[in-house]
Amino acid sequence: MRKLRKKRAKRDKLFFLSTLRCVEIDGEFCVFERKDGGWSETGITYTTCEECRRQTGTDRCYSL
Amino acid sequence: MLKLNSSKLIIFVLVALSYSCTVRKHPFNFNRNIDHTFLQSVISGSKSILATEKNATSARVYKAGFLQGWMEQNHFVDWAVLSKQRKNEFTSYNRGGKSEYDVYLILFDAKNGNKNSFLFFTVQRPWLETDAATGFSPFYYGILESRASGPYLLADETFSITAKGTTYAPTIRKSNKLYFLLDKQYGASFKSDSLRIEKVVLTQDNQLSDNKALVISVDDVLGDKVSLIMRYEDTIILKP
Repeated sequence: MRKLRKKRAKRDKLFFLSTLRCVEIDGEFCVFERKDGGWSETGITYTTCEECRRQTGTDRCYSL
Repeated sequence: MLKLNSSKLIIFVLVALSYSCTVRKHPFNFNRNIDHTFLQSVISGSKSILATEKNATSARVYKAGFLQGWMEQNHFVDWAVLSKQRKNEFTSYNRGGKSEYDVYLILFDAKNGNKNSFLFFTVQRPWLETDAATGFSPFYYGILESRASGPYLLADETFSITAKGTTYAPTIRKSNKLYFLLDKQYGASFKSDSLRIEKVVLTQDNQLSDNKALVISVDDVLGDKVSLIMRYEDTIILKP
């Protein structure tokens, strides 16, 4: 079962693009999600880039 | 008979689907890829009859930006492309985006009474990503002409670019005459702070107007009174 889960995680990483993005707007870090080929605001915000990255599992923060 | 393992077949279909459905990104950064080497190759490899200046020592970069963002349209929130100067018209509650379009006009200096040549192109890139491009317009090369009746850019050469490792180079040059009429109220010379393209004129035979020249109003197409204003950004030194 664990092996299967690992396999699935590897497959997801291979085929699917990241679905969340942290964007700095006016000093706060807003979470955007993929929608209709672009990015849409979720309404969730964090005060630091590190916190936003940790919560969303993304590797970097963008700035508007 | 060809035997295909079902899991292999599924993987093949998934790969084919993901490859065909995803937007292809090319590594591209304006400052890194449109540098003095690239611009010198544009000038030296040109067969333009109009743009004959081969000894340009500097180039002025003008830029206009467009964003594909969320906008309220007929009771729906949908994608719309607007000039970045009109960013207040996008929805305030959803500040997301899809693509960004950077319109570049590069003017080359001229020596010994030659005319200033120009390079005009657009780069499409994913929202907020500065190191990737999803598309390029044709690259137009020609001269800046300023007449009493009005200034214009006249291109007589068109090409696209191809990646060679981490750099880009112009592909086969095509002869193609195109006028970009400039707005008199904005600048019209090499040292101008801003330039604005008002209309595009296609002189060659085309399907729409047959053998008559076709005039396209940029403002009408973009739905803006003053849409394509390109502002001075930077100077690139070609030869020290």
